[in-house]
Amino acid sequence: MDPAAESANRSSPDPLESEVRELYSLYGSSLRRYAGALSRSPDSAPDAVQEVFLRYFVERSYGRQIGNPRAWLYRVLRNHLLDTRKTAESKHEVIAGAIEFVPGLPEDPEATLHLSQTARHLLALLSAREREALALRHQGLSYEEVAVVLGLRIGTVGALLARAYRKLREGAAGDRANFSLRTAQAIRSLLVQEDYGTSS
Amino acid sequence: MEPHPDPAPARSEPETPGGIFAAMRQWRAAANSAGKVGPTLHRRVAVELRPYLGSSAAGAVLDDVSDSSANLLSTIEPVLAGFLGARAASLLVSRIVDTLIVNN
Repeated sequence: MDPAAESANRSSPDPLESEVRELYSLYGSSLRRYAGALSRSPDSAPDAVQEVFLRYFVERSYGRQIGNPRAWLYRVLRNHLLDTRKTAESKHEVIAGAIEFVPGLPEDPEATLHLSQTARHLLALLSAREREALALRHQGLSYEEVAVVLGLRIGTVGALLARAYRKLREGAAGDRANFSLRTAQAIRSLLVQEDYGTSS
Repeated sequence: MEPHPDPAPARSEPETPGGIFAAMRQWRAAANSAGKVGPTLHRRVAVELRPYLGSSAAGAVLDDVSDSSANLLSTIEPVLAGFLGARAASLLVSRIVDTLIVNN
C-alpha cells in the first residue's frame, strides 16, 4: 500500500472515513466472496467492492441516510456486478463452482466428487432467483436484507426460500442416504463460494 | 438444510483498505473543484426534481440545503418520498447521484 495512504489511514479523524472503515472490517471479506461468486472473476472482486464502498462514501458525503448498510452494500454490489455482465442469461445466475474444500469433507476424492455431484444436482432443482436468495441467506443476511438486495418484498423472499428448501428436501428424498450434513455443507459451499478465491 | 442464523460478521479483516481511502480522498478533492457541491449542483438537482415537485417546490426544497451540500440527499429524499413513495424516491435519488455526481 502507498505509504502516504497508510499514514493517512492511521491518522484519519474523519467520522465518515471511520464509518467506512468499520463497515469494511465487518463486511469487506464477505462482500469480496460474494463478488467473486457473482462475477465469476475473483480478480475483479476487490475492484467491485472498492467501487461499492466509494459509492457508499459519496452518498453519505451528501447526507444520504442508509438504514441498513449491509443490505445497501450487497444491493449496490449486486447491481454493479450485474451491470458489468454482458449477457442477459448471466443476469440471473448464481455461480456454482467446484468444491475443493469444505470443512469436514471426506478426503477421499471419489466421495468428494459424489458429494459435489449431489449438491449440484440439488441446486439445479432451484430457479436462479431461489439460488440467489439462498446464497444471500447463507451469507448471513436476514430475510429483510435479502429482500432489499433483490428488490423483493419480505414475504416473497420467505416464499422463495421456503420453496427452495422444499425442493431440496424433495430432491434429496430419492437419495436420502446421501443427503447428510455434508451434503448441506457442500450446497452451502457452492452457494457462497467460500473457496472461490483459492480454488481457481 | 437450515440457514445460518445470521452469524456475527467476521471482524478480522487483515488488509487495510488503503485503496479505498485513497479513492475517497481523491473523490472529495475532485468534487470540491469540479462543481459537485454548492449552488451549481443544487441548480442541477432542482432541474431533476421539477418534473416531480414543480419548479417552485423544487427550488424551495433546495433552499434548506447547505452550501457544502452535506445535507443534500437527506433533505430531498424524504420530500420525494412523500410524493412518490419511499422506493421510487430512493431510485430517483440514486439516479440523481449517478447523473449529477458520480458520472458528471
